[in-house]
Amino acid sequence: MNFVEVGQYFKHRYYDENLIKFLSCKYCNLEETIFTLDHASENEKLKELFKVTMEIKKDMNAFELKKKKKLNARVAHYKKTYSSIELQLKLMNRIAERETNWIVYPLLHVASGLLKVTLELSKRLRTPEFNESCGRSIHRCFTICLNDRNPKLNENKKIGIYVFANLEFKIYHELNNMDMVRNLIKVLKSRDSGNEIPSLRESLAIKYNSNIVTFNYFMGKYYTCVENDFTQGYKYLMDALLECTVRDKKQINKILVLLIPCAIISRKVYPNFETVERFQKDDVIPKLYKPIVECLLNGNLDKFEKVINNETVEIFILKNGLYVAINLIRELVFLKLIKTAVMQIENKAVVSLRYIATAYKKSLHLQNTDEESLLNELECLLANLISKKLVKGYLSHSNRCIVLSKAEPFPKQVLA
Amino acid sequence: MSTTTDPVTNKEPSISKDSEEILTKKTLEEDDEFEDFPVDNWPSSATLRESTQLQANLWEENWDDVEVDDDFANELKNELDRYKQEHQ
Repeated sequence: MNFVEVGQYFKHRYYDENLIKFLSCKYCNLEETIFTLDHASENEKLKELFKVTMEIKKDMNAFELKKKKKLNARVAHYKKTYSSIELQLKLMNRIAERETNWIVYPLLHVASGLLKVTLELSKRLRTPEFNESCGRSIHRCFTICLNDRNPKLNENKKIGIYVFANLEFKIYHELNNMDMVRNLIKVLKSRDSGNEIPSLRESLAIKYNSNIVTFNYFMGKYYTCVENDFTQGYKYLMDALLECTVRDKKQINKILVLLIPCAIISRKVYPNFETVERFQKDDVIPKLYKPIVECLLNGNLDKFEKVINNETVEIFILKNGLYVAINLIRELVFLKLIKTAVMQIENKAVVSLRYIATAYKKSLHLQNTDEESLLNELECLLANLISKKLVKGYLSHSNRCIVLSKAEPFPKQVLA
Repeated sequence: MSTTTDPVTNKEPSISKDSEEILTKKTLEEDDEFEDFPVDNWPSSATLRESTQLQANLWEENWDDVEVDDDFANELKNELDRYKQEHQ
């Protein structure tokens, strides 16, 4: 039998796996581990916390041991657990305000417990109320850490901001609320530029480094899918990827789905599928990106349309927030087609649009099109490439030609 | 730049069922939580950064410089050669 005196931790300001076991909302055999609180304890908040937590543990255990779990009973159980854990978190938050940063990790476990139950409810009820309330409670943990004014840096709770930011990212994604994500990132950026907060690697995340992967992933996802800043997206996602271990195949997959388009757009590179296949869990990545890369290499627009217009692929692209990225890649397939065509002629300085139209028609399998409107369409597409500095040169509408820079018609550096 | 429409049936041409073109629904619709790592910390020596050559091997340089020699590339070349002959 294992006796755990909970008050000791708060008195001596430390935690170990027994305190974490006490605070987490997981099944644990209460006959094997006996949690106690010294009755002489003067700390009223702690007493209340102990009472609430023990109730949660008893409820959890009773529910775990039940054989048949009907949907209604499950929802009722989660609703009850939700309010108990929310109370538990509020008490912990109040205690944490006066504590040094030893409390951050135990607090994180209570907050994670609330998030876990919220997600279970969200799966079954499909209403946002629990998610919103959970978001507010977790944001409270974040602000307690962020606004800690303790001048002793080794005791300051600011080391906890990133681990709580990760929980907030999760709940805001569940709510599909990118404005909340943006606000959170704005707060972090503004405090960071004022040197008021520790860096990710100076924070608690370095000790529990799955948090480094998660934080970089959500930052990369935000820049890729919301801001469409693929240079920043690449930076964060690459950092997330390199912090994974070989066994985190699921995470590697999710990172690569976003990282590959970022790399294609912002760095003009493309994945080595042999390498990718060594680290992946299933064949989603090659199935999605191999045909796309094939089109990028040969400029086949018709094939590209067919690949991305497949219904399952379309839904996947939308679900993963890659609509803008994939549309930019379409433009790059067009760019590759133009470059391939231009490379096959002697006079690369002045290129007739009718010549380019021949390539364009071939690439899209167009037949019997109105030549004039086709040339207008091409001028428009080429003007876009020029304005994005993907092509250097200018168009002559009266001569129906494009005049290309002699030095560097297709600049190496992509400005995304 | 939409796909061409068949004027008779007014439907999009059916897509060939090449395995590479059709993504199996099962794998793409699976929705795992990103954050459930099996453990929440590991030594830095276990990361891909330290334990693999991933950084050096993940990317192929410059898709815009690669010259491919496949069916489409050859057909395109023939089409452009024909244009050049007609306009000389």
